Amino acid sequence: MAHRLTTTCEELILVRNSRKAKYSGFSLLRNSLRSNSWPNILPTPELRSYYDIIIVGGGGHGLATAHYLSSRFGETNVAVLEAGWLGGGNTARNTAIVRSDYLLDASFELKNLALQLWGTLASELGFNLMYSPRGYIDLAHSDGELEDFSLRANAMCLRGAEAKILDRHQLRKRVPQINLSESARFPVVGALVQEKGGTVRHDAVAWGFAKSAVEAGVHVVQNCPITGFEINAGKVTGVRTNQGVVGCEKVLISVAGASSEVANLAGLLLPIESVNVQAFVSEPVKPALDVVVNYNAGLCYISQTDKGEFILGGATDGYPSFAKRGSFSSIEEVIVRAIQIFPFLSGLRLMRHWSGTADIPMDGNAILGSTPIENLYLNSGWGYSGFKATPAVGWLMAELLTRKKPPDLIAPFSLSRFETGNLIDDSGTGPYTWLH
Amino acid sequence: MTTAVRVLTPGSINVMLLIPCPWCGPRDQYEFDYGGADVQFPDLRHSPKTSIDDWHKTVHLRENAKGEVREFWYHRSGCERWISITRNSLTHEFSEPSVCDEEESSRNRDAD
Repeated sequence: MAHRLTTTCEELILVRNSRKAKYSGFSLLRNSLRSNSWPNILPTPELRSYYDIIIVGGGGHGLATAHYLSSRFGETNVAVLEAGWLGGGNTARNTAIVRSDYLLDASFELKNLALQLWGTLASELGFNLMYSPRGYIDLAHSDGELEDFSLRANAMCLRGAEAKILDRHQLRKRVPQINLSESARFPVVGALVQEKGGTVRHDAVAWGFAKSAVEAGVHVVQNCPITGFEINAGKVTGVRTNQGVVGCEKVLISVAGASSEVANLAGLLLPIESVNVQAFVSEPVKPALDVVVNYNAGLCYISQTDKGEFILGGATDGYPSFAKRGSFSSIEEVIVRAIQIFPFLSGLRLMRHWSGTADIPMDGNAILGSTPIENLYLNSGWGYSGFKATPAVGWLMAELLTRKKPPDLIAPFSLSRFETGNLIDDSGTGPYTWLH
Repeated sequence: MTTAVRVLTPGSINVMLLIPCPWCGPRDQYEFDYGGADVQFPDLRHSPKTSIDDWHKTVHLRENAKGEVREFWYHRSGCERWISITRNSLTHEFSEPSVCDEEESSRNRDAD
């Protein structure tokens, strides 16, 4: 009992300390003059025996859900259980691009809500997320493709977003560095541009949401993998962890590439396969590119970070993998495409490359909502497009966890759509996860 | 019983797939197309007995195992045959492949 009391006092002090973590130019100056004074924004709490809501997975999505649960829905008896370290999965492995240029209603609405939220999120969290709406440019390589892009741009405008189609002349003015040579292997004929698209510093997203949630009293526990679920009469009543059994009313699985593995602990099979996706950065150079550019003859997306590195990403490695390291063939393919768009990149060296495990469903779109097990909810199947949706998903999953009915924006993404045939296949690829 | 096919790689990590084709021997991943998990599809000859649920399980639901998986590869730039092979999704190590039984499937077609 005494031990419990001490812990609570410690927790209180830690929470009070963490409330001090206000960042400003003044605090930077003050703290640089004092030593050892930056408060710890992420205390290590002792697990309670019961929480109203347990979120499995401390990535951007799980932490965003915790933030919105506490800040919008008054739910603070919440734990986020992370098997590794905060934002150590796909949150910090993506290429940090945000955009909402989707054709299908369900896909568009979710990402566009997120894009609106990115604009004000830094001030809401008191954490600099470095949202840079520098513009996202999607290149078309044939007249047919450009027609298709026009359809998408018109659909976006009708739903209240902004999008423009650029011809070659306008594209040359907007991005003078692009190789517009007619003799290129896949000549560029035009582009779709979404000026509000851009980049967000991805690990700051995880830390910003975590800071806000912890300040509100949410427990964020790292190095705490779950080993099973307590399920009684088709209803989840708790989770088993490496620190013992924790009871709860509701559980949200929000674990990206490990979705199948964790759902399997509850006896669920998901329509998901996990595929490796790689990203790369070049050595840093002076500012040379102020937009995000996506090459569509194959896939390659490029932007330049604030540090000056060019960051490149491509399609999946093309077969299921949990190895978290990539094939050389994908590296070569992405680099070849990057040099097609920006020939000057051939003079740079690659500094690092890494990969992440993307959970890709059979129709290539996310799976959000309830499961056949009562009070067990799922946020999965984001593949390699989850980062841009982070704040919207957090908000909507928080709403789902506190109300009985799923919010309209996530209703189309139910797990049951695979049985009923209401698939949301943006690319029209079919049930081939490795091709999405 | 399966025999692991060792691949020579720096630091004992399989950085690139070297796929042991039963017809052509170990060949580079560039020559192949991935063809999906080797799952047993419902028998079309008895289609009245095949429920929607059977199709849902076969087309959509996957073990997605972290470990040994059975899958199809197509040797596009080689013998142009489909092979079924066991690969470890965590280490990228292959076990000895078995050949897709083309005779069996053609016999089934003839019977129809």
